[in-house]
Amino acid sequence: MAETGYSFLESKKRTEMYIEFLTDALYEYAIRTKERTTALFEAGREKYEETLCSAIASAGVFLHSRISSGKKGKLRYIHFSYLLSGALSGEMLVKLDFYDERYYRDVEETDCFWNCRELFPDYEKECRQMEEKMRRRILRVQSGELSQIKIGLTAWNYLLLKPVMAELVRSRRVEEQLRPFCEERAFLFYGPYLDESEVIHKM
Amino acid sequence: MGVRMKYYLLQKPEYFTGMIDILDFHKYVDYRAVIEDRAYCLPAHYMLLARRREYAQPPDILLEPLPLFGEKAWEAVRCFMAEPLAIHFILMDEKTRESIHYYYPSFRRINGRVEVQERGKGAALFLEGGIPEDIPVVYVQEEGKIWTLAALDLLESLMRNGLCDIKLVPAEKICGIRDGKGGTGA
Repeated sequence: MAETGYSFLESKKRTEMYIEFLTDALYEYAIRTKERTTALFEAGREKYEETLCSAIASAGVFLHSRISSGKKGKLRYIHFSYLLSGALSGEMLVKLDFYDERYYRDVEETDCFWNCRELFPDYEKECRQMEEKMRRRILRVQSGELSQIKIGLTAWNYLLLKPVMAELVRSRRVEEQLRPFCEERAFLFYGPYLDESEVIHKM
Repeated sequence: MGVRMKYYLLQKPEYFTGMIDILDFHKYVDYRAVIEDRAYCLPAHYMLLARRREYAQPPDILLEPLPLFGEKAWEAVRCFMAEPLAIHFILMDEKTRESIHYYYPSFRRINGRVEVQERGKGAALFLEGGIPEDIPVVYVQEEGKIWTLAALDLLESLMRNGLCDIKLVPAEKICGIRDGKGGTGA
């Protein structure tokens, strides 16, 4: 019966407490993680370039066969999309999509992902700690409320990854990996999957 | 069988205590199922919904089949699901006489077998049919159980529209099977 019956679910005060808790917790996470992620990236830049190049290479056979058969033109637009569904799946993936001049009308797609988990090593621990705190502070916390923690942290990870992606795609190694498949000029984007994104580099 | 799109099985999250929370978690309705004038009791539950928060009308996607209800209610639901044309399910509240109409989506069903790895990190699916590329959600029907399998595109869109409180298990391997036995894909 602990999970049924009456509670303060409709209470304005409880809602305010919940929102205040979530806001403060996510903000503090963002401050801590920004420093950590930046330090990790600077210390291991070559390793991250290598893993991103491996991800691009995994799509190499597909790109080569489609381009040489004429089903796909040379690439003009390349999207790096952070998957928000990772909040619910436990993954931390950036999806790579490759488009020729037709952009979204180019329907020749393949699954190509880069795993960026190593840049957020404390994510799981932070989630657990925040969930524990929320359970202690918020009366009769619902599992839907708890799940907002992971969604909030994932949203912050997406924002914190942007400067990292911008640095990575500018690196010589990544450019060399992409160059054989690209037109003279290619645009690289970063954003949520199938949503607004912005140019982070022009090759 | 080659799979271009990334798929996920939908499961209850680990910290789930036995009730599924709806997006609008303030709602708390005592449900009854009425089939041919017979009322079946369903314990009061939240339902897992995928819908925009601001919608006030009943949801139009029910992503999870109803495994939490009592035996009689599940029998009623099973009868309902066995009828291929039955996509309209009415839940009536006995106390308030309010009826809620669920338009149960008639997703494609594919027979198969699901093997979820330890701690739900991934799953291998052995299917008797292919997953059509233009259909983002299918049911995988295993003996006694129905799994919901959704494509990445759909899930990302649903997340931007408020989907939460569900666990996604990546389908690491999707293979075709013959005669109900596991094997490498066609």
